Amino acid sequence: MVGPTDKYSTASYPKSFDDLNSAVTACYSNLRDQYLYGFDFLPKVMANATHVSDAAYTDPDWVGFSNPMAINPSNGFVTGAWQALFAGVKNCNVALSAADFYESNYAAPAEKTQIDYVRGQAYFLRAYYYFMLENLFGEDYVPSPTATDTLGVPIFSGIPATYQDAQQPRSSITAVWNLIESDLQKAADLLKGQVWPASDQARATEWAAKALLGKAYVFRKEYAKAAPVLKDVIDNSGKSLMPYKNYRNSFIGIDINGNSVDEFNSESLFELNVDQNAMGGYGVFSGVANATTINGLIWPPYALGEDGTEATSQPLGYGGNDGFHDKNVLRFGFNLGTYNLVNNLDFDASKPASYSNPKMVMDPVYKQKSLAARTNHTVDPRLYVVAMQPWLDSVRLKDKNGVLAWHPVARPGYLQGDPNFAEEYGWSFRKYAPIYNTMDAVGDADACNIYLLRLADVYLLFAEASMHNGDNATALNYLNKIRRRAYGLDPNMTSALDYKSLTDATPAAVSNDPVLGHNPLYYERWAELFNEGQWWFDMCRWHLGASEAAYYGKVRTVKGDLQWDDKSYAWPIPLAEINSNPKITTADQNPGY
Amino acid sequence: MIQSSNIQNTQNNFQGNVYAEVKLPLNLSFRTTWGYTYYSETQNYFQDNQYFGPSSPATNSLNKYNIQSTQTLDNFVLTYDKTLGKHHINAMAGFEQINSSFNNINAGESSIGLPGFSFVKTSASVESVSGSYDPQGLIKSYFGRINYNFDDRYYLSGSIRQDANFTVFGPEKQKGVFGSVSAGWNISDEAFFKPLLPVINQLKLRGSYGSLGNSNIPPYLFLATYSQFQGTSGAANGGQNFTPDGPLFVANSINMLPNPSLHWESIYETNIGLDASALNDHLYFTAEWYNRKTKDMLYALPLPFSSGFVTYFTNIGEVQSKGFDLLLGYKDQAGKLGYDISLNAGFNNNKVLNLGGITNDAIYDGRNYYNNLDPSGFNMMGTNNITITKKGLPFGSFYGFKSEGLFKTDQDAAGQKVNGVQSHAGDLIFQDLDGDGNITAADRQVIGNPNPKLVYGINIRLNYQGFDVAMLFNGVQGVDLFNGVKAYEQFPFADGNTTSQIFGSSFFGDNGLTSQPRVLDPDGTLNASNPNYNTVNSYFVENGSYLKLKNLQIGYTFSNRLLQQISIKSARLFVMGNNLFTITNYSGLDPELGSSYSTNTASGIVGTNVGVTTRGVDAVEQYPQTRIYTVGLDINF
Repeated sequence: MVGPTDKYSTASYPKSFDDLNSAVTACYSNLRDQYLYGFDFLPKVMANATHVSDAAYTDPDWVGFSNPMAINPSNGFVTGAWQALFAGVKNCNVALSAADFYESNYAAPAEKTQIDYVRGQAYFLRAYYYFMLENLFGEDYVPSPTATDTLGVPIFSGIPATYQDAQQPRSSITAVWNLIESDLQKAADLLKGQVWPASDQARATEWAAKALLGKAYVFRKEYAKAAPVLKDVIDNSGKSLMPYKNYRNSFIGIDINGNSVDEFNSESLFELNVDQNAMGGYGVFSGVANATTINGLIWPPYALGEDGTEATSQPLGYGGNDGFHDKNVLRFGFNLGTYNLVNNLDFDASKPASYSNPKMVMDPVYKQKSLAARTNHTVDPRLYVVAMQPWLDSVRLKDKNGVLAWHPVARPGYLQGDPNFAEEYGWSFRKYAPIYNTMDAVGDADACNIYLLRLADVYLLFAEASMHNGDNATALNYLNKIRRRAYGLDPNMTSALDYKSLTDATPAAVSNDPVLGHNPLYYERWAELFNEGQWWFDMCRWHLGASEAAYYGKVRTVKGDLQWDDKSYAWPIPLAEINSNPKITTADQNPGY
Repeated sequence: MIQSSNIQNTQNNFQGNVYAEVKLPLNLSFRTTWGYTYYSETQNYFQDNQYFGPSSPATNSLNKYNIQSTQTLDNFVLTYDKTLGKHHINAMAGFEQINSSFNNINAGESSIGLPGFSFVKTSASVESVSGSYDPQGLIKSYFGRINYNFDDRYYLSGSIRQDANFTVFGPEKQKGVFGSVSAGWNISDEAFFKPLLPVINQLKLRGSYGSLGNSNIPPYLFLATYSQFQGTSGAANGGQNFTPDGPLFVANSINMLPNPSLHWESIYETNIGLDASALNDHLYFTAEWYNRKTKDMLYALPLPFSSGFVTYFTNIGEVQSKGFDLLLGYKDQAGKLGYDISLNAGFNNNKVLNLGGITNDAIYDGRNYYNNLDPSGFNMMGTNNITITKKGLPFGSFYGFKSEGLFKTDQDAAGQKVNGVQSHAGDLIFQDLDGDGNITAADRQVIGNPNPKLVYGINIRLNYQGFDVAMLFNGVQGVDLFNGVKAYEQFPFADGNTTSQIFGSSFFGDNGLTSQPRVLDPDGTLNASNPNYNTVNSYFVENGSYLKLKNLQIGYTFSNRLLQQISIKSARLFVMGNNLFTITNYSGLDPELGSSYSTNTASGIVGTNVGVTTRGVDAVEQYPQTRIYTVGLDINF
């Protein structure tokens, strides 16, 4: 029988262990799809949905996240995320089937353990994709239950054999979570005891599986099941919280010479490897395989213009996309207000005005106060992990002579025309953003690995589970560990900065935040995992939609105050799915869409 | 001068055949033909990295490719021809085989040392290579035909063929059998017709019924295979490493759902026609009725994204296209002026009889994308589909909200929300099918038919003393077009681009209620999710009827006396214009549209099924027909 000469027939592939490895590689590489961590999910979708960003870009698909009331079922990012997450599920099912095929046809008996490790990775990633799908599209968090709000997403536990098998109805929420939990149990068992060598450190481990399992239990409110699993990870995974200095570096990923720094560190449980090498192409749109992402194009920091003014500020990626929402600055406890520009007393009139010789600078009194706020910890230091302040922080890019030079961070030029410009903070992104060069000078490629699971997340989940299990003391202890690390202290020694109770004031109390101001659990989860695509899930499961909209108040692309409709706790099932799937009709759509 | 990019593309095409024919005894003759087609294409593409803004390429790159495809044809035909009194028989049987071979290489290198078309490797260079070789294309056909006529008055003909395509269809499904019969009657040659001859010079009645096959889809779709995984963003997701700067592992997966039951599409057509000429052959006339049924239509069905796959090639249902074609012409000479004027008209009706073979009861297609390669972030109507194909409806009917005018006041609009957004004065009134006050996907209905009711043409030829004039008019009546471009012209999108048409929208500036839906919200600000312009609705459906002067030719043939002195038999000088003007009420650039972006066609379908479900959709990427002026000289030696 003839077949294509440039593809492998399923009758004779995988033939070797390398072939099998290629099948499971597809489960990982799909994470960098443009609609997932490759380009859109963190900076365009999640950053705007949680108002980390106050975007200046008015495309209808974007606006659907700044203003969730405007999401409709034909939104391109919603459709793309659905498609890419399910492509990941399919790749995992293919890898599992490839493992079975290889084992029964070509494997040597000694390879059984290695094949089980492949299966473990495939189960873990399938559970990860379903975890994302269910949290985004399932009716789990839609309040006011009616007879129809028990729908999750369609379940595919194998490759569809016929096209009718490719058309599945929505499964129930319980069935989806059961699949996620059983996949994670299997992954943890199959990967038990495996410690990967440095060349494979990005692969899933039993601790990643257990951490995600604990997270799933917490999200399902099964706190009694969650606590022991999370404690197992805390005690036995060998992971520990990093000191503040390393923690701050780990979100940049490289040092000034481009070498990897603080990646795959002591606190990382599952991490997506990202290299600053687009292999000659344009990020995730290159025509060749690479290991990069291009999130930095959307949330670049802004540098002072070559003529030394903020009006000509230079973004290190695409300008006019994401901007750091001012309210976040306040929420971390910064209470010094905004600044004025004053004449630069050190201005050298014999030379032309430039970024190193500006005519106007930030008011030095304000600058001193801002520096003091950093050193005397009146502001949560994590603000300086996730963001950069104009005039105090710097970024490096080529000046007009083509020489790489450090420029002060500046407020974005597009703010200049705003009527309330004097009250705008205009800070720049730092977490996962480029700081050593413009994106297009490095191929259009991000440098920083993306955390998908880390120990701090496990500590916070364990605190939450303990609290619900009645053990407030343990809960408070673990919240304080996170806080101590953030302030540069030893996480395991009590300190004066510790929260005294689960209703103690947090840094957000300074801005009278009604939700996070006196809730250390919620505050720590918000501050620690800021801009990592986690807070949206917390907002949904804790039903903070309306209060978050009220706190942030306004964004640039939505007029009036932000409104909230409870339907937004679930994304709509894409219209493209309904159109092509006879088993999912408009009647099965999430309520309100 | 520095060139920032340079492409050189060469195509060579050779087609040749040789035949030998030998006459055998017993009224037989045998002919064998051997044909060879060779196509080769070479391209060099150098892209420099001049800095022109944040989207400039970081490195230069060179891409070179070479494609070669060949086809050999072997054809053997045995013919029997015999006349016995008034009976005449011609019978033919034959065999034909086509072998195809394809070979290509595509190589690219980034950061090359010298601008130009040579690979000059530097330390920063990254190479990529792809290519394939496939000599397996094979089609075999057996065929036979018998023609019989009696006294040149009665004609009868029958034919049958078996086609087998060995790479497109799987085992057991490769062969298709197609046959036809036809009959004709020269009524004007009958004895009883003699008295009418001076008036009606020729009258012929003919009819036929036959079937044909179609296999125009990419090969090997009946098999499951592993190949490099491409995410939605492409090859960048085809590999991954597991440590910083570690070696990339190739990512392979099963990327297509196979269909082992793929088989030939069959087209059955019944045809009855009448040809006549009258008034000393000055008047000529043809009328034809046809009924064409396509069964098991080859189509790339969109699969639910939840399956992890995108399309599934399969055979679908039954589609019917029937109609009536008429041709009427008159040619004569008036003194030195000769003229030939003809009119042709075709009435057509097409309908989906059933979508058998699939579980979906409707197929959706068509997108109003700004750029066909970019489904998100840069489109007025998101990923909305525009057409529906369903049992009982014409192919590719437009599907969306039906608009019934504009709201005059806010009170009138109080009862309508569109996808949850409250409507106001100046917004489109949409018909609310389920009566719940919220216009959503459940309120979509058929809003237009892109299949024309009448297609007509007028052909005028004149000649006078060496001058000749030919005019061809094309026209279409009774067709709808979906003007997707209007959404981009009347509403600012993405970075705020639009056209001056926006000044005519309701409540814009000093405007009151106009015929255009409002663009700004009541408080004067722009809402990017304005449901008037980002939903598929009938405000964009327009009447696409038109009449076009498709071709005008004026020529002069030089007299022979002048030319014979330089050994030229004849010479004709002409000027010609194509697409000179169009009379239409359609507000877009050109009502003569091909099909727009179709998820079906993007999967590789070619031939007659291209864009069959996205007719009549006018999208930004479509070019209008160009107006071409030509001057030419024909010389015969």
